[in-house]
Amino acid sequence: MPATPVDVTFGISKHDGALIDSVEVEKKIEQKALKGSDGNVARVHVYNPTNSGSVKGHGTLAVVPGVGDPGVTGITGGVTVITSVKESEKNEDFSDWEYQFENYPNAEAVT
Amino acid sequence: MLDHALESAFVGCLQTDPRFSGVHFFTGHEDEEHQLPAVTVTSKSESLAGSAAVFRADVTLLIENEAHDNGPDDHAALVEKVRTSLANKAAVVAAINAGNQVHLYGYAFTASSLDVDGKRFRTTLMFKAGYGTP
Repeated sequence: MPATPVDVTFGISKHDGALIDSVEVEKKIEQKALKGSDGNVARVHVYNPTNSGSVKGHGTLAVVPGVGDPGVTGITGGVTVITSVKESEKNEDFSDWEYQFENYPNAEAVT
Repeated sequence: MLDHALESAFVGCLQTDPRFSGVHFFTGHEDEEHQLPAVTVTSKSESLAGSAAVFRADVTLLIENEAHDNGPDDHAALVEKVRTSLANKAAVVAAINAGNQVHLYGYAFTASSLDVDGKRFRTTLMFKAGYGTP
């Protein structure tokens, strides 16, 4: 099987922070499938796209739980909620932090 | 290069302590005549999150006394001096950062071991350090 050229990246490109360990983004969508008379799926409707993810890094952290900007490339529009922020210190390593977010691209925030 | 800067910074900090009068200090990257009693500092660094400015380092202090002229008590006393000197982390961090060779964020001891042969007493102290460019 011939090799297929793939554009891979190395390192962090989705976040501008200087000391980011990792960025994860998961895009999801729900579906409703209707089976036809022969038992095969005949109609499909997709709805409610959402994005979720997490960022791990070191240094100064300005992100707080609540509606906000995760600072991740491609996560724009709708409402993004920072669902959790965890800050850690270790006796023999640098301090680090991690936050998780959920993005609802078709939603609007209610105050 | 940064490893050498970190080693030199620790050596410079320890050398200023008058309790180490008569002790020879070396870094792992210098080709010097090795005279005992000696404290040799070596380090091995890795970048933090791919950064070019912040690093983790495994630092090793090799403390040696010649066995012919020294007893185990002399060696234990020298090891204790090094431990005591480095125990005041705030002072060591401030002293090293004042030297402007590296910016030391902190360090923590991880292990130590003692080795004795027919010629010398040798204690190794290992610790992890976090540092960056000044």
